[in-house]
Amino acid sequence: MIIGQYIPGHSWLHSLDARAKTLFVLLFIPIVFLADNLWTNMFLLTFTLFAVKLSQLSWRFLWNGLKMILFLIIFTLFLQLFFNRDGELLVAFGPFSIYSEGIRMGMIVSLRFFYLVMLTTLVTLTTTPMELTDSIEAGLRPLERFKVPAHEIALMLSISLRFLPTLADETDRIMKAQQARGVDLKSGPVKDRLKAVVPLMIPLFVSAFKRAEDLATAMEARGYRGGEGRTRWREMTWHRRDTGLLVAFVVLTLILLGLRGIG
Amino acid sequence: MPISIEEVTYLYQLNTPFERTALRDVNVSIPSGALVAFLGHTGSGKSTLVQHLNGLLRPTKGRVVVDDIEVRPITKRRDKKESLLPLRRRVGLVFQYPEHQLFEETVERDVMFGPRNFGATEAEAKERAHAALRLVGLDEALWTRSPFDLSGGQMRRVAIAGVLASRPDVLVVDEPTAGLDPLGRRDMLSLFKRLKQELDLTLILVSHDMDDVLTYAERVVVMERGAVAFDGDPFDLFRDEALVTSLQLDVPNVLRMAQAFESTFGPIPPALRTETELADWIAMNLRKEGD
Repeated sequence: MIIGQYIPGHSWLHSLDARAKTLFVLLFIPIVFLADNLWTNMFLLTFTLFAVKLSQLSWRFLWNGLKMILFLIIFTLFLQLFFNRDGELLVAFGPFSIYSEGIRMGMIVSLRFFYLVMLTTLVTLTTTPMELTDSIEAGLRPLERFKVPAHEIALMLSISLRFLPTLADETDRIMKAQQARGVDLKSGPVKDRLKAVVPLMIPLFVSAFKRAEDLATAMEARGYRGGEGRTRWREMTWHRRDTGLLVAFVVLTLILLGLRGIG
Repeated sequence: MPISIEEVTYLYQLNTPFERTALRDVNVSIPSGALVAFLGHTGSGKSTLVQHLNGLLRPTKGRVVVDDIEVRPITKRRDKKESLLPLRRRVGLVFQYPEHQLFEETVERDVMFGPRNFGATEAEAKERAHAALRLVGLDEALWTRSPFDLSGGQMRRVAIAGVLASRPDVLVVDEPTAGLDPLGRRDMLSLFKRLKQELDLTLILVSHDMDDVLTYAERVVVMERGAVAFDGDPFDLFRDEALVTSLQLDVPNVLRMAQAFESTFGPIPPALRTETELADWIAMNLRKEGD
């Protein structure tokens, strides 16, 4: 599973401001629904593949990482294929019958699914988790007026993200230590395998709580105080290319609206 | 139990953009009953290598043979399911900060965990646990306490007992002295040396401490960027200053002291490996001169 991972790189997508990228994806979600005929879908498909090309990530890597999602996409395709009963009846065998609308909707829904998964994955693959949380904070800031603790939410997010790899390493270490003591996680009845989770979870929780305490002490010792007046180490800078991305979005929407008329 | 590591190559995160070579064509053979140290910097591949010895990691290429058990790369589906339990019982692995593996309600139950997994009955496991706890010198009054109530040093001993209780023939210890004070370090290392003799173990020590290696190991394998850079007597390694520098290692304090002493007072016998040996020799000879 590669969703949520970050792959370092120097592509154009990597260089974009995180705020621009998240905003783009958020805006992209509703306009995916504008694609409802052959031309609009051809256009969005080309656009999505072009975005992949821009990220300079290897196709093979994306393919391997998204295989699971592909299964979901095919599943929705079949769901539409067998249960949509609009349009003309095309084929019927036994209890199954396929209607023309089923094929059309199946294609459209699974393609939309594909665009969304692809673009959100591209954003997380080309944006560091820290940049992502910074952009979430930037997005939440206007809500501070309504007493939404934007900074605290972002802090919690970045701390959790920061400790994910640490905890993953820790899990790996403890798992290996228990395997060395004869825990068998790969075979045996399900009941035994579930029981094998206890020797893993307890040490993991113990160390997670210890880490949390240490971190809290370390932050307090440095006089940490969040929110107002706090300067940042990582300043986000908005470049021309970021405005470009938003302009591209507007153009994209207009083209989609135009292509809708053709079909 | 003889161990032979043959042409082992290991790649981390195979088939992802993060793929990197952790081990490259490593060949090491370790006779039964040896005391071998693996020395190297963080990321040199020493920990990765020893995890092959009980099949926690399986080579991408090459093979590891422990006695009559072979650890091969995973090529078929069946290989993945293959049980390595017999191997894991015979090769005990004590990880860095082993106290992090403790989870049971009492010390005794935690130490019994290993033997129980390897198929011992409750009574057998208890007996082995007691024997192991005695071996590491943990006071009997603590056996029924929660492992989380103990001090760091005691917890580490419990964790080591937890590995010994399975009665391995080979014991691999990864940085056993990490986070201990100088006295604790010495205690820990002499514990392992004693265990090796009493239980007739093959002992494999993973370390980045030059002094520990010189003092305790009969043979040292230096790992550098996933390959074996030196394999031989620690004394030969550390006396060759050019080699030590080229491998980015340090001369152990004992040898440095000995060299400093030699340059002022004249030659001393070359076989002094430990601080105590050196100190005793100097004391004896200075006294002689004083007479």
